[in-house]
Amino acid sequence: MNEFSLPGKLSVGAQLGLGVSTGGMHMSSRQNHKEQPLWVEPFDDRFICDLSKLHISQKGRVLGQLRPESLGDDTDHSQGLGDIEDDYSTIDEEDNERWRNLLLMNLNWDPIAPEIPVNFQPTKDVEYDSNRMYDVRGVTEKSTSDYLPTNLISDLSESGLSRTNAIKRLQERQETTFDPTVGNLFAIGSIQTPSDLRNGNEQHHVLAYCSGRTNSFLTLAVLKKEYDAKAAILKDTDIGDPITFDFKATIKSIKFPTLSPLLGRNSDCIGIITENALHVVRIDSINAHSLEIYASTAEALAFSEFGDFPFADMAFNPWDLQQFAIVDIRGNFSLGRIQKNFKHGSKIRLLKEFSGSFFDPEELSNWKRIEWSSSHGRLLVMDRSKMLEVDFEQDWQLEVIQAKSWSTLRDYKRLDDDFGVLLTSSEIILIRTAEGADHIAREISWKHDLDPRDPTLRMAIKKLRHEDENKNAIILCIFSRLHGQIYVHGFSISENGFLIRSTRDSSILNVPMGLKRSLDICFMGSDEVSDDYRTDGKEGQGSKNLHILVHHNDSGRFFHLILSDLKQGASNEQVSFEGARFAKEKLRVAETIPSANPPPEKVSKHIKCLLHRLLNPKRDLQTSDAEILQNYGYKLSEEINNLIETWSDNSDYSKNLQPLLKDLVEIPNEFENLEEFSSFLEQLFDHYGEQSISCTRFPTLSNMILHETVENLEIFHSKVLQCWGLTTSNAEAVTKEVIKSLVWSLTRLCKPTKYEEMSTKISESLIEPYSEIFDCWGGDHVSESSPTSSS
Amino acid sequence: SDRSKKVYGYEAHVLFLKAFQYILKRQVDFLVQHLDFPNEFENVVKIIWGMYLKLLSEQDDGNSNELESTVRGHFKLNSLASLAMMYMASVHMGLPVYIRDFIRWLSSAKVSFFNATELLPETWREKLPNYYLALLEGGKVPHDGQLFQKISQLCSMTDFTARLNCQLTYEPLIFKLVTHMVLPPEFYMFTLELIQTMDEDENFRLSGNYKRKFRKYYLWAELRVVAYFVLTVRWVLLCDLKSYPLPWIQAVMKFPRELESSEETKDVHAAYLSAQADTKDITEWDTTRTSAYLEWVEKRLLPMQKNEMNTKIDHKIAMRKLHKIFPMDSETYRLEPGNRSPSYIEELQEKYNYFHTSVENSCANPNSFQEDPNERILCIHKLEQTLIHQLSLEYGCSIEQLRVTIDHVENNCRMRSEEFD
Amino acid sequence: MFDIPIGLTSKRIRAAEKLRYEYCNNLYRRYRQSQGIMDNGLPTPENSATEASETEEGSQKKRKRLRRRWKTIMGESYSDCDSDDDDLEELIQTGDDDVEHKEEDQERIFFKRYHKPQHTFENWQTDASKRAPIRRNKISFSKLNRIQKRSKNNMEKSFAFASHKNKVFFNSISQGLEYIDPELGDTETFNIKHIRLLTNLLQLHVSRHNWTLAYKCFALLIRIPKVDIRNLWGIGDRILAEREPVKSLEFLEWMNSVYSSRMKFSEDINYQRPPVFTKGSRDHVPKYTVTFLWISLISCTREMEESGGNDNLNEGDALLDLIERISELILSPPFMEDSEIWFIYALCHMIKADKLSSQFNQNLVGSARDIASNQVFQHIQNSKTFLQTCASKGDFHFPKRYIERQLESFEKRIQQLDIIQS
Ligand SMILES: [Mg+2]
Repeated sequence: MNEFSLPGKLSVGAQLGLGVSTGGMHMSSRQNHKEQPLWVEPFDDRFICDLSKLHISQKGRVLGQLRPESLGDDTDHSQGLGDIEDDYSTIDEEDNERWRNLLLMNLNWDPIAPEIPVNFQPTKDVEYDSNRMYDVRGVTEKSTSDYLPTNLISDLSESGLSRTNAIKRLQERQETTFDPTVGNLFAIGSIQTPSDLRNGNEQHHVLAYCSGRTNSFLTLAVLKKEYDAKAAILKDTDIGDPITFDFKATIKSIKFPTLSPLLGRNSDCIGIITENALHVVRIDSINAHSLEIYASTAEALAFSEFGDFPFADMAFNPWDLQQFAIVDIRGNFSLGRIQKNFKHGSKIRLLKEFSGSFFDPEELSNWKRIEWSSSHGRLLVMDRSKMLEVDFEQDWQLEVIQAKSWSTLRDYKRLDDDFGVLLTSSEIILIRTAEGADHIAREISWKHDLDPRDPTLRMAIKKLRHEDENKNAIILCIFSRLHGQIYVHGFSISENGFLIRSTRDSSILNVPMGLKRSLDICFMGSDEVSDDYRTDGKEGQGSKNLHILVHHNDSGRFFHLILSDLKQGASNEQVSFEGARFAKEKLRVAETIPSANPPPEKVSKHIKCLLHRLLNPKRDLQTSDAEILQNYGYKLSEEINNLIETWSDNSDYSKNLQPLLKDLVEIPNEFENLEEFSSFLEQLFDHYGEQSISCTRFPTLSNMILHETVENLEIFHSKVLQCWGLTTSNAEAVTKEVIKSLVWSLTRLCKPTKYEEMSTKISESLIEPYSEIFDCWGGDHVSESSPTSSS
Repeated sequence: SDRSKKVYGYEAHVLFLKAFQYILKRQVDFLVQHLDFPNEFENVVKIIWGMYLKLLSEQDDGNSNELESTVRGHFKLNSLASLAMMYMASVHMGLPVYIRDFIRWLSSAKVSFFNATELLPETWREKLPNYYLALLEGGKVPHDGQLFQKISQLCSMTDFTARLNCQLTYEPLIFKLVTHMVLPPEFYMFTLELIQTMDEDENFRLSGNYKRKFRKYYLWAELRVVAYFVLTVRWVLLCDLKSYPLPWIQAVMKFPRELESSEETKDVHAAYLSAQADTKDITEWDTTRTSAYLEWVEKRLLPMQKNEMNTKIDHKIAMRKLHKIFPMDSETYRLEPGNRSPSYIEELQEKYNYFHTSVENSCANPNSFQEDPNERILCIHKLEQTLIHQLSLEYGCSIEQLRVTIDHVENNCRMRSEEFD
Repeated sequence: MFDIPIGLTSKRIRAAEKLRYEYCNNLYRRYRQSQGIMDNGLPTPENSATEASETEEGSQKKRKRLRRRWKTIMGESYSDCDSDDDDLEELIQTGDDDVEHKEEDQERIFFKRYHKPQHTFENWQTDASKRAPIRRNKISFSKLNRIQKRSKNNMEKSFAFASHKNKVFFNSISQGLEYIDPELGDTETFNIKHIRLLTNLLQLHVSRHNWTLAYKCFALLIRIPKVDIRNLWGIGDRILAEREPVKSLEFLEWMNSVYSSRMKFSEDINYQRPPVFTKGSRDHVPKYTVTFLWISLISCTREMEESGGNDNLNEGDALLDLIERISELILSPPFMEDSEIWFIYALCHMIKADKLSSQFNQNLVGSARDIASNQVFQHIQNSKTFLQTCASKGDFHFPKRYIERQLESFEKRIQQLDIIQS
């Protein structure tokens, strides 16, 4: 079945999407071997793992910061890592230290000091006069910190200046612009040092990530060998102690070389692009048991040695360990060479004859990507709106993809010698970069339906060997900085690379902590094809586990998540994370959480005695409820009578059109019997009802409070008591108290005719067009009947 | 054609006021008929609307652009204004109905707010220019305290505070907050006590104090009451260790997912969705929650959709055929009446039982008792965060605004308590 | 997280795009002028395009020597900022052509230079003859800075009128950063927020294969007037294929009948939605038609499979209807030219031939046997000719040898029986 590739358009290949299928092939010679499928469709229904059941299994783990404390790590004391899955994202913005910076950055005074770029570099070949020096040249990150004397800061923040607009404006600035050249700030690669080669042991997996306040420290740590085998959760014992390099400039991206299988070995260097230079770290040796790393770095290649613009991306030559390619933010690219060993601080040389430019004035974004294509002389260079294939041997370049209208290019990853995966704003495209073909060819594409206006889409890919179907599976994780969801999709390639198919649909996972912004995801485990994380014991038979490491740059925390397609228990089971034994997370509570300071002495005393009074009320029993209500009634009726007089004579807007009973006469509070009380109120309102004094009946009020009409207080009391009955000791008395205070706050008297008078008074005072408008308030004077409002 | 029917200038101004009044009347009718508002309510709203017209009539000296600026300028008479007027009327009449109820009704599409222009008669809709139609059409759910701003705007313009009763009755509001957050009754008494000892009544009045860059959120009467409520919860838990141990606090925060929800809670959920900036947790929704939301969409969102003005006949026919291919469940078979959703009070009783049982069995095992105070303080802090998050959604105000109010109220209490001793 | 099926544009987004296109057009024009190419593409008289790169370096050196000499004479007071003389130069040069560019829509000017593809989202180029020599001269900062400054000067007016958000937008994109539209997930209008929620729920439940909820979401979404079914038809078809496969064919047929169009594809800027999966035109077969043909062919073969060999030949089977339908289709433009449609047509005949040849009963004799056998030959012949027309279109690849082997095996099935017979 695998011996032919599916029919399809030459330039387009198989264009697939949810429910969109093309180019299958009918297997009519089915008779001789029965189990073959009737149709070979471009969808692979026996993919390595069932994407519809893929979920983040319970076994995930928060690894906390992997960065050593000593490096002046910014005082990030986000609160304890207990059960944080219902954590609202607003909590981690709460700590005061961070808020003071927000305020400091956001006072809209013009910066007092002139804007001297942090990494001021006089370029070599262009002669500058004095006042050009202060021009900010294409420095990507506009520094947002303004200078303010410390004493000003402290008294400003005490004065309770409102935080709202300050934070909103800063959030607006932080959230709306982002630097596209910042690639993955953490990566896992396989390293094989010369000494490993000599005594022939396997490669090591090295974890490289950046840390420090301005991401200027690179930290390397080696994953233990045996960790791979048991495919269990990464523990702190599985990682060797890290080694750190200080590059004194913000690191933009970390690149591990993926050498071609023809060389049969892994590389031993790591490329790091910082804001102003390219650094290459070579790992000289790794001590087998203590996992000590001995590494040396070449002298940095400053971008001024190549051109006037900072570097955007670099790639190592898969067929030549010493060669690399570099591209800057405006599209000038070139090849370069590094020395065999960096003993005497050897320099990184650029090969001027292998350089060129694909500068496009219309391309505004700094995002550039460079990768090797099918042979050691051919490169793929791309920016947001085009991809070029450049051949240095035959000296030609061709714009293979032009994405100027419907889509933009988001990310490109080289899978192996034959294939690369391109992510655009609307599709995931598998590109064949096989040797011998004229140019790259578009094999299969999947429309991913993600929001095309999200510029922060990035992708992690992994190639897995599917033993029993002898084909390879490619798994892609697409993640973005704007939301915490991961979009997983898969392609499958037959052994001979002809039959390429996609999964019928994809899977959507939610990173449990809902951490928005600057997520970095990469697959664990080496890139070789052979290892397939078989079962991990307890998860049961045949479940395909995928291990991904998620790094949250803001808090510097790592999450090791395991994606498994085994049937999940209760569907909404939250991912409960074990505490991070790993990180030295100190829980400094008292002074960080403002609410921790206790209430004033008086208030707490007051609360205690109130609680005491409620729990065991003393009751003087001399006068019965009826009596209390009776003499209250007398006093009340006098008040109401002279109130009616005041109403009848003047009809201006007197404030007390709807007076509260409790404002008229001091209310009795000692009575207990609600039955008495509601009947008393009934009599009162009926008596005054005749004199056209209405009052807010209790049933309408109860409807507004309990959303159902309740005839009298007794039923209201019993209903509320059912709720509170269990929660407090003498719920009976307390609920009575509550209901009495409710009723007194609500019972009002009013004379509806007063309102008519007032509205006529107003309509008289209006001049011509408005009085006519006002008068047709009620009238439905419009001929055709308008639709009644939605019920 | 359609272009010629539009009217402009003064005539459009008058027609706009008529349209606004028409919509206001329809909304008031809905409240009186369906939500049991007293009959005088309509008169009080009419009076407030009359006061606004009075202001316009004083300003109206013939040239319409000065008028235009009041109606369309910063004090614009938009769809929020009708809600504000109804709220002011309910405050005057002392009804137990508050801003969170109004916002819940509008963002769960119970009251016609987003499709208000649908209520207008056809001729008026064609005549009114688009910028006026846009004013009448509520586009977004009020956020960052827009409704509060509009209320204080209208109070200052109609001189409401001087003429009618602007004193907020806060007791029912506290009762509603306590029951909504499933707290025991003593919290009602504590909040009331704290307000009455630490504050005066005139701080709980609708204030006409209004500025463009308004920062004194603590002058918004209702937000002040809510701040006192949150403050009380924090202080009571902080100072009364014995009766409210850690498991008790954790139980308050547990949200009973599998409980059958009443109509009101469904509206509350829908309102939360409309108010929240991003709903990142939909991946964790279970089927009951999702189908409840879909049912709300079918019942409320679809009927309010405006069908496109100029759809051709064959497009309509094609659409009808499509709807036959994808029938809605409610069309295919009569939804069995089956289990009517419980009433609000029954659901409340369920919630309290759930709360009580979870407190019971978590307090049952004594070993969980020697928890360290830090963790309890942290849990109180988290409870407060949840309260603030939820209440800011319900009040259409930002979390920062509510926090500023709480801080102000807290400082106020500390100062007052120093005066006493 | 997902793309919502309505055209989401607000006044602010259109204004921001207008600013971006205007800036791009200015940059493009300034860059070409600095390369010595006039607006109409002809090289400026004194330095033609080819030698532009060499003399350009020379003129820059000359200018520097001039500046250095001035500095020595005037001393520090001579502020040799580049911009002074450039502005002077610029005033002379651009006096004329700037005015008329402003009125015309910037987006139209931009897209005059680029062709909007129909079949794919991007223009894919595989023609080796289009290769150009590698461009060696790198862009320098001073040149880029001059171009950018001039382009920004041209835009002062439209920049001044831009709103605050669009100013932030323009400043960030002109520095090379990228702009995250605050509308994403911000407080959107009530309707759009719920449409976004429904779309996310739909995608989520389709990915989790719980089809009842997905169906409900889809049914609700298509009843919202603003939602365009052409953006969602794939998901609808996927859901129906799982719940009621018969209806999925009916739905695709409905799509095909309602949204098939013969008009020429217009690259005008009013059509913001990519046509790849949503539309068809005179020279682009819409995706839903292709999918409809593939799925009906597959379901025909499935039916034949289930009914086994026993159904008799002449009973009206679905495959013949499909062949009938395709034969009508290929008479009209978009299908006439499309190689994939011809391939499907050939495949139908091949499968028919396969069916007939496998059911060919041996004990037929004389004329009945001839009729049956040349019926098979007829289908084999048809599928060969249609494969040729498909190959003649030149842009379709299919496993040629495999299909030929199949056709031969069908012929063999018939001949063998002849040989035994005779
Ligand atoms: Mg100068």
